[in-house]
Amino acid sequence: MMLAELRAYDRFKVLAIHTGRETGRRLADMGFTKDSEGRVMRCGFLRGPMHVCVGGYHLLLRHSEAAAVEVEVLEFAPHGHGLGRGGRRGLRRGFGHGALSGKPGLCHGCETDAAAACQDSDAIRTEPSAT
Amino acid sequence: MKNSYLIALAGNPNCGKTTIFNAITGAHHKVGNYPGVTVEKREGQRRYKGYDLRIVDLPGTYSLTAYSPDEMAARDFLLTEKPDAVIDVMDSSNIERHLYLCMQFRELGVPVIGALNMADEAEAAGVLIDAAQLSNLMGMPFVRTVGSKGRGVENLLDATVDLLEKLQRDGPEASAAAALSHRMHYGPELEDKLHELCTLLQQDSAFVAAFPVRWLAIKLLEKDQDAYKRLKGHKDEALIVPKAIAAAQWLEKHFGRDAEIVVSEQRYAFVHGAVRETVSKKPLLVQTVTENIDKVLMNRFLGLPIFIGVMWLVFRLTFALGEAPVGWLESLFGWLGGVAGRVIPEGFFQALVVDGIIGGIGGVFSFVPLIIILFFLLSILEDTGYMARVAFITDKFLHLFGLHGQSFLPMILGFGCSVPAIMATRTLRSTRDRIVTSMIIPFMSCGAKLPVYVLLAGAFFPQNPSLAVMTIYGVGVALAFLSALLFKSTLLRGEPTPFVMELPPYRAPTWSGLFWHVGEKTLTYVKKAGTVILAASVLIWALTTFPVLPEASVPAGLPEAEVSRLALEHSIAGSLGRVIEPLVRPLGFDWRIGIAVITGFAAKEVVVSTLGVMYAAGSAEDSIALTAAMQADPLFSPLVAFSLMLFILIIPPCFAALATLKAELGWKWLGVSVGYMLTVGWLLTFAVYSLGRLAGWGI
Ligand SMILES: Nc1nc2c(ncn2[C@@H]2O[C@H](COP(=O)(O)OP(=O)(O)OP(=O)(O)O)[C@@H](O)[C@H]2O)c(=O)[nH]1
Ligand SMILES: [Mg+2]
Repeated sequence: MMLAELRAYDRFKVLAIHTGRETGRRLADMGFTKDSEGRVMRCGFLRGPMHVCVGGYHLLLRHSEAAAVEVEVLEFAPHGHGLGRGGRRGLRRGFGHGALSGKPGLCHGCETDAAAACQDSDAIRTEPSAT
Repeated sequence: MKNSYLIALAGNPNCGKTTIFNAITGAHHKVGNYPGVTVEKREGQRRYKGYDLRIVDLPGTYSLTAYSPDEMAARDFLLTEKPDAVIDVMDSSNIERHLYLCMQFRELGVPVIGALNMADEAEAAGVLIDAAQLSNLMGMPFVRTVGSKGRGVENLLDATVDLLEKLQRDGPEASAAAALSHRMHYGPELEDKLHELCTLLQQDSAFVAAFPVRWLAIKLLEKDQDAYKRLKGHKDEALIVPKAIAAAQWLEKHFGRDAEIVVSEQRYAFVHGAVRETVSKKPLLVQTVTENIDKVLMNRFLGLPIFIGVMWLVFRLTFALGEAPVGWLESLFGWLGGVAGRVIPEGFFQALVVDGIIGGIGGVFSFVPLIIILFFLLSILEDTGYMARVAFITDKFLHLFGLHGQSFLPMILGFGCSVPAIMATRTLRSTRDRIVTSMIIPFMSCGAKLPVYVLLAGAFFPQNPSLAVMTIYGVGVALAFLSALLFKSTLLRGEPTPFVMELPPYRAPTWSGLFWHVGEKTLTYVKKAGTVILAASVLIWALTTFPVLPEASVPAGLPEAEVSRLALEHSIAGSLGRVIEPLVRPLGFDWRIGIAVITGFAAKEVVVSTLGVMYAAGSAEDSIALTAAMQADPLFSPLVAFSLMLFILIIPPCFAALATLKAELGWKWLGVSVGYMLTVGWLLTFAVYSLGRLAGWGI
């Protein structure tokens, strides 16, 4: 899966960067390296830039750059954000990061976890319980 | 025995290099909580334990492969000036990526001292670094520092001097051997290729003296364009280039990834090991303050409205807090003018002092409080880290105009002064972005235009002057975006450039930082008022006074105001004015305004002082009297005042800003920019004035 497909609070592990040259190396220099773990903190309005925390560094990047980063999803953010999990995944392709799908920021459990994941990227945390 | 050394401060952006530089040298260079504050190298001196240390503060970089001009400045300094030592400043709360850069400094063959800066933040976050163990592993000294409090800076200098003394004692061979024993191993495949390339590179002894061979070999494998360029000086270039390309290709086949990614992975693997052995993190489950604030300020729906609200608040506060002190200064200068009028006997000297000097600079000086408050508020935004968030919030919007979030930082700095704002575009990687951003920065009304707006708005929009001023600011921002779109779809077309940026944590602004930054800006402004603006005022006074109207030609019994008008028209300025009047007449201006606008190229505040001198013909020695004089002038109307504000907004900025544009972009783009601003400024003002007259607005 590519980083650009993830949504707020999803946790991931970097597998590979599929663009060489400038962007790829810049991403690598700034902390996107194989096996580093991170979390999507938020996505901007209307597919605006993504704020991700990777290896403890907070980075902003556009979806077009994130589309070059192959990741393994460690944990999808729990459902309960308005739309059910199935619905959310279903909407993903059609609506992208539209305002319709999901409301990150309302679930208290994953807020704390998002911050913690960035404090300590090595620690694997337990699944926050879905409300 | 060598006793003067060149020492560079280098490292990732925003890790506190300038803070440490200031602490070492006692300088007060600008510090801010976002990546890319320092864009050019700065030098300072420090005498320590009998050594003369020349300290150089470099712009931050993420690696030694440079993309943007500020990064190139850092890399070129390290490569060509060959400092005696590098102090690598790191953010201790997360040193992994900092060590990754540190490895690259080491490969340059320069002695490196690690400053584990921000030790206070690391401690608060529960990060413990075993500095002694890290020193052993890396084979270089590490010192804990807290730059913002000046803690550990002496230790850092001690470590630096110790290292330099040791190198001096041991001689180059022993040092090289020590460096070799701690050199990073890239794994058998890469080392094989490196060895091959190094052997070839070593054939040219002149080349070996100029460049660190192993570093260059690694860069060649990373397909670094700049490294290939540097190879041009090598006698076997024709042999090495194909070898290097073949090696990189072989690696890509072998690893199935781009060669530069492979190299960076190897480096990270090494660094990761070092971190695992020396850094322990207490698992903290508390949510960070930063994340809590970001929940609100970077909220996908609230972010933009909050940002607009913040900017609105900045300007509201500037006017609200500035009103009273501006009033005091106005009265002070009014009083001074009165005293001077009484003390100095009537004659040319009195006129020079009262009308020329006090009338000219008094108006400008009165606005000092506004400038102080505006800079203070903008500095707070920079120091807390909110500015970097603005890039996230505005990126989507700016994308519509072909810009990106990172271009917005320099644009906001433009509200302060265009000169540093244009320089700040050096952090942008693409030349196209840099040109477009620099060219639209003058539309962000700078602090010097503020007095002009305030004067005109105060006189002609008395019900709500700050609304009028903010409207002009808004028009400027809109013009900036539209111009960006225009340039991006005509002269500077191209692919959108990648946007990757680091987000700093929120930090409390330091009082000393705020004080020095605001103090410096204020001083610059006051100095400008005391030099350029003073000189301009005296010159304008002379131009508007001489040649003196012969008494005989004045019919007796004419009212005094009429006499002074005739005298003004008779002067040199009056004759010059008649030449330019046809140009500005269609905009609703007369020749006096035309002259004022032209003098504005020296500095925009001069517009105020020129108007002051011109209207002083009656008795306007301060801005209150100037306001009254302008209100009494039948030529002026709210529409003309607005047109004038608009014209001042759009036409080319002061010479200092133009010189910066020339230095950053060259003559060609300076020409394009000036031509564009003159054309758009004239046409738009003409349109507004004509429409306004037709519709009967504010006549
Ligand atoms: N808490 C804490 N903050 C620090 C420390 N050192 C610097 N800072 C803050 O970190 C921010 C960045 O400092 P700068 O000195 O501008 O960093 P820089 O490395 O010069 O940044 P660039 O010029 O952008 O590369 C500022 O807000 C400083 O006040 C420290 O030791 N502790
Ligand atoms: Mg700096």
